[in-house]
Amino acid sequence: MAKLALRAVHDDDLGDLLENLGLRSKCIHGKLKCAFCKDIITYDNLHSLFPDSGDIKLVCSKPECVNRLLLRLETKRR
Amino acid sequence: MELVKCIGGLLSGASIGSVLLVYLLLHPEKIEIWSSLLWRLLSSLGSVFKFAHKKYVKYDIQGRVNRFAKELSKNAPYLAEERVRVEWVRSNISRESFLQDGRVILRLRRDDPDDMNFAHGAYLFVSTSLLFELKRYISQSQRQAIDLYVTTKLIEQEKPSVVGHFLDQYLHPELYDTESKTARYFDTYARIDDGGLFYPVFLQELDFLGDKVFGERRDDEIIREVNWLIDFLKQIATRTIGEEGNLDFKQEYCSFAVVIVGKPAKLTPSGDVYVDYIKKHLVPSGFETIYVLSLWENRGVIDSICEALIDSYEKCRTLKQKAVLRYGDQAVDRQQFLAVLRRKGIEIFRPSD
Repeated sequence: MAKLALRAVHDDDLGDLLENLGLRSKCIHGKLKCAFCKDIITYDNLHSLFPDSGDIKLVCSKPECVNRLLLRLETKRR
Repeated sequence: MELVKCIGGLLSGASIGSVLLVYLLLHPEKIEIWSSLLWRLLSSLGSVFKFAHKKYVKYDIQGRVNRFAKELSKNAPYLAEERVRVEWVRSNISRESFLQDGRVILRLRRDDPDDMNFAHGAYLFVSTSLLFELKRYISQSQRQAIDLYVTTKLIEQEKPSVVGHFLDQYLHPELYDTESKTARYFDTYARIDDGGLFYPVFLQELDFLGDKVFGERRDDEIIREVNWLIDFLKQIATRTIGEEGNLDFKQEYCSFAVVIVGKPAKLTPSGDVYVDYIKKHLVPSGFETIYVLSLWENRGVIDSICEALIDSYEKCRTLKQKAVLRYGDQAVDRQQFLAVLRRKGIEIFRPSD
């Protein structure tokens, strides 16, 4: 039975992860934007992260942005 | 005598233990669900058990999503070929490794009063695993409504208290958008599902369609055909008992017929009236799939029909399911029996698990 790995980060590790990716300070100072709607990303509204064209993109928790991420993942999986 | 009783007791204890062990090995998702409950309990005991929340979230998503997928595999193996595994990303991962890995990382929250961790995990799993060969070829609203509908069903079955929050976030905003077709598709899928045709016929046909078009160029013709398919199945699912209508669907990609067995005047144990009809009309037209549908009590007739068609069609799957049937103004829940017949010589049909 094939297993689909759902990669995730728990809040307990989120700070360290952002630090290692060089994003923590930017997140605290409101310098990160959603890849789709361009809203400022904070600890409150961060939904996910994904690599894109050599950069790390972040997605906010707005349903329309989550849906755009899912569309992108479906396209990528093919 | 006491010794014999004692050995007997030990043996029966051991055999119960063995049976339990075999059962759990065959149902790993149940172990995950039980362990998630244990971790949740521990995580509620204070900061000493802070670590337990992470384990709770992982096993809660895995156990419940996999239980749903396993259940569904009986009727819809094309969805349930995969299981989910939550994989925590190392917090010390370097930027370079993250970029090379190329995969999305979902954030799962500690403070999650509405249980949206589960909803987000389930939605991501359904979107990336269900009918992924086909998704590129259908419209965004057709696709989004399928993902929303199946995820809603998953959450309804596994965590009913979360459904409202999920729909509030993902579906209800669509209802207010007059340009959006997603909510309309969602509603139609619900009607098709009420009639018992969503998983065994609609998603099955989309799976066949996906196999046919995968690798080809995108074409609006496919989107139109899926729209016709949706209208066609809605009309069957909402028909009143006794109402006549077209039950054949032969287009460029989809080729199937629905045969409803039930008219008392035509109902014989051998189902000969239906066998004659299929042999005379459907076999020569070369329909790839025939869905034979009846009330549960007529399953013997369906078996006879399938037997009589063995030269041309292979019985690939049968299932018992609940459907809403309309008798005039009255809607009644009935148990139905459905047999899926695939024309011999057509490529492999995915069997149930």
